[in-house]
Amino acid sequence: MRRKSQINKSLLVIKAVYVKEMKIWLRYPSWIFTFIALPYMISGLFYGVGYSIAGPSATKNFASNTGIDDPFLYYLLGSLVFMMTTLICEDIGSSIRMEQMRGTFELHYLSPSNKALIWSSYILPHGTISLLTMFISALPPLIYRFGFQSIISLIIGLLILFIGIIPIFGIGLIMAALTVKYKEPWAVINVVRTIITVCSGFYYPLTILPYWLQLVSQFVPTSHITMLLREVLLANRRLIFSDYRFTLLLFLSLIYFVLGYGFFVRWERNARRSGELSKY
Amino acid sequence: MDAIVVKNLTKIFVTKERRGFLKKSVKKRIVAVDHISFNVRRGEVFGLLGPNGAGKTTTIKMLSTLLIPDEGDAWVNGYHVVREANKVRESIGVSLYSDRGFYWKLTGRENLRYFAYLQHIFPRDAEKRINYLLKLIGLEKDADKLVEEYSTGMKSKLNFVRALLNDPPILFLDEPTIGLDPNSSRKVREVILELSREGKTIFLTTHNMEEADFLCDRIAIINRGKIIAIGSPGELKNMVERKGIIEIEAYNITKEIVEKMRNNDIIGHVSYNINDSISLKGKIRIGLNGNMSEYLPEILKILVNSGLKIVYFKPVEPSLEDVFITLTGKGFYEEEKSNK
Repeated sequence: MRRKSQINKSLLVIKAVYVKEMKIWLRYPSWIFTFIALPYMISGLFYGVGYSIAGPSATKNFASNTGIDDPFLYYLLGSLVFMMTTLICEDIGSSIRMEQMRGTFELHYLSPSNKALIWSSYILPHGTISLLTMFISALPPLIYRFGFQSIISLIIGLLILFIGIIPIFGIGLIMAALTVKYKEPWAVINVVRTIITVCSGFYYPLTILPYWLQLVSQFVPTSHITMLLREVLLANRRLIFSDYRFTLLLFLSLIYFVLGYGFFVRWERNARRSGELSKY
Repeated sequence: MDAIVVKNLTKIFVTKERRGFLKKSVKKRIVAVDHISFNVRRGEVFGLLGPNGAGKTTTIKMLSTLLIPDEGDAWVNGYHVVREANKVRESIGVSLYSDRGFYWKLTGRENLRYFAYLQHIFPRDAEKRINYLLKLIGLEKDADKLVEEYSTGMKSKLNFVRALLNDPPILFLDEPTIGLDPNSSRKVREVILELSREGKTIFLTTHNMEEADFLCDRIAIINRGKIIAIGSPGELKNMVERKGIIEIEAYNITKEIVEKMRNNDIIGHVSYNINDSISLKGKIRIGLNGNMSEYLPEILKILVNSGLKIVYFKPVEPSLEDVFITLTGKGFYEEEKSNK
């Protein structure tokens, strides 16, 4: 009975965070167009740059370097993962900072709810937004290229993305703690985003990187998400779950989440001592 | 058992003072709350009165588990504020800011719903409670507007309602009427008294002496992190010697004029508060070293020659301001200025 009541309380907290975040998102509607259109704009830009450098043989060269003959879809999927990573990382970092500036951050610590649960619950609304954007954005060109069977591939892709959200959220929590400590969100966000972007192969195969950087990229979860998505959606591989990258992604999800959460909790404890919870 | 027990509670902050481009910043220790001890009885309205920067908010934050004390102990509703923080949180309602702490893109009702769920109040009970409280405070008509459209007063009321969501036995109110217009302030004071009649323990901080006098059963006066007096408003006022006290409203109040008055033998203390920095209009409070009737001719002479443009002057009863002056040697508002 006691456990049931505890579960109900936890579900209530998850619902509170989910409804609040989704309402706030939907009351700033312009982002919907941006998030759906931006991957196309970025992909078009890269496509144009590639063609202007390599000329008519651009597509052929691209296929021989990457093993994939459709550069536009290649860039589009890379852009989608890039967008999702940016969205979640920046949003966790900047939204916790925003909570602090608004004065709502500190108020969470007046409630008896588990703070771990409150901040972890942000995964769900952020995940919903990312997956929904991804689905709407990627579906039309995939159907155009591979037909309706690509819907199954897309669902597998979304599952990979959902798992991928967990380590990104962990990174987001580290960024959030650093952001609220140093009060300069963009300094933190830009450094982390650059490292992730270079090591993830959003727009190029990782094999073009120096060997040491390829090794580093093995520890960057987004590199595995990008590769797995391309395998599923562009190379039409369904048995992706036996891939070593999938196992590695699960492992990194756990590591980054625990690391991010541990870092945040440590900061929280210090903040309650130093009075930083309310400083802005 | 008392509702709140505080023993030797201390909080020290370390701040960095910046001195120019190249010079290293200097770390400075500030003792915000300095070994304070007091008890709050169940069902009483207890006020922590002090100038800005005296340590009132820091005390509330330690008692409401937002800050971990550096020394000392405190129990709220029988629970230790550090070791049993969640039990304390279940027992209290806290109103910290007057107009901050809301999601602007949510309505007032949605904000309350969110915080009610975090307090583990299930939807049906939450709706009932929210509707009751909105009606109580007179905000039901504006409950479905986005908070970004709220005035400062409306936000303050919403903040007050949020503190009452979980129907707590103990309420912490930090400057509950700051920024409110007179009507809204009166409404909030009425609700505080109503809650007190219902048996709730109310711990409020204020730097408004009239408010403390009107609302509180007992008051602790805090200055520079230390509690300098504690008692009922009557007991505190009895600390002031029954000598003549005059209140003057005047224009052209300057530091020089006040200093000149202080140097006079018949005057024990002078405190002042300027409300309009252009006309220098404000109030002066003069404590005489004897009875009013004894010193009236002399005080009239001093006032006529002072250079003040006097609107009125009248003898008054001792107030908490006089208690503060007696204890610290400084006026309440002067102390606020020096803290700033």
